[in-house]
Amino acid sequence: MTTTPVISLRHVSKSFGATQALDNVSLEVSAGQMVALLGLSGSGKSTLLRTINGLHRPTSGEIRVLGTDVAAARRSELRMLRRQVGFVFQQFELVGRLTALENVLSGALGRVRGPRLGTMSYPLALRKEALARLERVGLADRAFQRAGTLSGGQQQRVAIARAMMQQPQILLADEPVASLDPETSDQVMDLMFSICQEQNITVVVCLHQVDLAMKWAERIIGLREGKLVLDVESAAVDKTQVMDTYRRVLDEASEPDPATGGEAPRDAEPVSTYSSARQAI
Amino acid sequence: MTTTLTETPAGAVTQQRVRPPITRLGVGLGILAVGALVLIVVSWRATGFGVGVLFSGLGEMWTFLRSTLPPHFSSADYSLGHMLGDVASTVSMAVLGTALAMVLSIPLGFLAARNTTPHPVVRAVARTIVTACRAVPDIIFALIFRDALGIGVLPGILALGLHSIGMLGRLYGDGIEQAPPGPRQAVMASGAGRLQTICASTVPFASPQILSNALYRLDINLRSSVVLGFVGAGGIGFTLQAAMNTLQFQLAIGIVLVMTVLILIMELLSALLRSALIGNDTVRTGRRWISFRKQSRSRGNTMPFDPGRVRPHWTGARVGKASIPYLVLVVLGLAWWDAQVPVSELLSSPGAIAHAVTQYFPPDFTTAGSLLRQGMWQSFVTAVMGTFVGGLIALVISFFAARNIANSWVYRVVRVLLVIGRSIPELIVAIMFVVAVGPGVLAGVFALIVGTIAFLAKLMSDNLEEANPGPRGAIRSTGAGAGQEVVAAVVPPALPGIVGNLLYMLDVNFRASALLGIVGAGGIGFLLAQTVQTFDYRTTGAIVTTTFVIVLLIEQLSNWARRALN
Ligand SMILES: Nc1ncnc2c1ncn2[C@@H]1O[C@H](COP(=O)(O)OP(=O)(O)O)[C@@H](O)[C@H]1O
Ligand SMILES: [Mg+2]
Repeated sequence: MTTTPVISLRHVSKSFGATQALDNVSLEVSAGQMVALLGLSGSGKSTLLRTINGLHRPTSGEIRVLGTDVAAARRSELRMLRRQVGFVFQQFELVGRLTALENVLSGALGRVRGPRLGTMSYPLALRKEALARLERVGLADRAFQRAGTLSGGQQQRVAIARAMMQQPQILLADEPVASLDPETSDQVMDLMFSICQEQNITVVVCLHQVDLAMKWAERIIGLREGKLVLDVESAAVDKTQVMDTYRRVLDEASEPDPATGGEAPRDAEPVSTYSSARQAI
Repeated sequence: MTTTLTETPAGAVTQQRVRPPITRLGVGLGILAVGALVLIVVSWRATGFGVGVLFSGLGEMWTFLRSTLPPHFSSADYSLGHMLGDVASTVSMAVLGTALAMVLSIPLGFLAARNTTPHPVVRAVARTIVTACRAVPDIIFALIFRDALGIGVLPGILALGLHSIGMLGRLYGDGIEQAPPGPRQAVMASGAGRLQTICASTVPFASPQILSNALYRLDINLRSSVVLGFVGAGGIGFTLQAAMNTLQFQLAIGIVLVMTVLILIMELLSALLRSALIGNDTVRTGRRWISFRKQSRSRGNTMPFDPGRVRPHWTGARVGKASIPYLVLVVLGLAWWDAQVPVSELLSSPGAIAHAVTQYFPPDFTTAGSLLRQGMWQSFVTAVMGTFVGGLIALVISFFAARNIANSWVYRVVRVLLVIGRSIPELIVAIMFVVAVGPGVLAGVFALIVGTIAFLAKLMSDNLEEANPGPRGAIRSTGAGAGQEVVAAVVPPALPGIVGNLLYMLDVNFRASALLGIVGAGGIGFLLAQTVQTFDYRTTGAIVTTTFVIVLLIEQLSNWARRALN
């Protein structure tokens, strides 16, 4: 394992008004590591990812990503950083009217100057690269099909190809398979991790499913109400142990919390998420 | 750990091209684009368009404007009270005309929508009626009814009512077709009958749009009602024309000012009402690119639960919505009272109306000879030039008028300027350009450019605002710049709408340019005015028929282009 941390958070907190989304999180991820982020809905997973690529500024604490001080960076510096950090979304977020190839090409916008409209507005070399990346996700034959007409799994694969088009050093994925069926989920996760492994890309991925996290990630991090509550090497423990740990985290969360006093609207949520998490397991 | 996804045959990438394949659709759009380009070049030469002429004419325009200052709001034989009465009857005309159109368009809309029509043939007939109503200019309807019923507000109401079906019937039909099929099937699956299903699933979906589009049409009709007065269909337009014919420009500009302010108020009111009706369901700020619906859902519905209560609570929103029908009734009642519609006269006059219509048939294409051809061609190239130049400028402006793109202050200022621009009656703009660059097509082109900018910039910025914020966030997180982000994620989804609106504008402009001739801005309008004044009905019929055919052709083209792009 390499030792240089590409992501390092020290005592990072982030609050939205009264909501404490991240609470004193300290964390280091070294280059090439594959990290899964587990936690209930609302535990701060998305906020953590968006703080890493500078879409949110922390309320307090220090973040360094690829040598950039994210909390203090200027806009242009953030943009330079984002070019090196790919992001994959739960809802894919492709431009549905454009072809798959154009969507992949848009991942290269950080590498070209000026706005682009249409496949032919990109240089030939980029077009070839984009097609190769589409082939890597098994969709070269769909290059000129509209992204909106692809199936969910195919759309997420196009989105992965788009992120790869950035030639990123880090890939952040926010519940990338939460809108897909289990079989497709497996394929997409398979694809994402193997590409990142080939290219030595550091991965941080939010997940709901413990088994997917166990299968792919070398390290598992658990968040609960913004706090880091779990950080284990998946190789050091076996699956049932992590599942137990995860369950324990879940069980604790579903009990009334003395801090929040078990307020009404939060009560129902963990239970339902718990059952869906169990189904996923 | 290699992937097992092998949908693509090995080595396909080396054989595959990295340029989009040539499809029939692509070829069709290409031909359309080349055709449009040729048309623009031809129109450019035919109209002699150039900005130089405008600059040399600015002095004259200024002199003319000075002669209208200060505006007068009354004259020796025309009191302020008299003017306000005329203004009121103009508003009544617009309100009643729109109401009539709405009443007639609702059934037509349901018959014309694919998902509610009883039979495809019925649908085709309903669509044809709607298109015919749009193709006949409101001013022609006004002439027909004036001949049958005499001078007054009634011909104006009927003219606005019938012509507005062309827009409302179409929008209603399209809106009803957009109702999601899921709830329909669910209601049908519960064993509901056909009409029950429509009432339970389609009507709730369509009703806010029905009222909102009617309000939008009311805006348009208020503008047209001024022009209708020119041909004796009642209201302030009659006085406006008299003032201009007798060179009382100060009074004329006073009337225009009053109407402009009125239209402005109406537009703001109707925008307010419409947003209350439709609500801002969609989050339009580009910054919120991950939805927080979960939170907002738990925040709503804070009413205490009371098992005995089976009526909805009177929340502020419900009071607001419930008062809308009463408000509408009050406005309609006032308009009815003000307009003093002679119902009995209307009921006893179908014969007169039929007679008035038959005067225009059969159309006479020969008497006017080449004048007809020339005028039509002039109107057409005027419309093409006005749409093209105005559309280009509008496209640039629309980026500054889109909430999700522009700085919020720029957005507000530009939107207000556009509303003001839309409030100035087109004919007045045309008159000013006739003064500046002399009579002829060029004045018409300039007038259409001004109108097109004000109208199209709004429609185009609405198109841009509809873009889904999700993909924008995705593009931004690749490190793309702001301009790249907009072009990559906002423009493509807006493109079909923008092209559709451009073609719609060509249609509108062609019909408008047929009227501009009345004030000397070139085109068929001159001949139209002449034939109307000399009671040469059958030549008027020929002009209307030709307009009808061209409007139909433009519409076919725009339907095709819209479908192709979607
Ligand atoms: N932009 C925001 N504005 C207000 N509250 C937010 C915002 N983003 C996140 N939150 C709050 O922060 C908490 C963590 O949210 P999030 O990071 O989305 O959790 P997760 O991704 O684990 O479901 C939640 O309570 C959420 O309501
Ligand atoms: Mg989340």
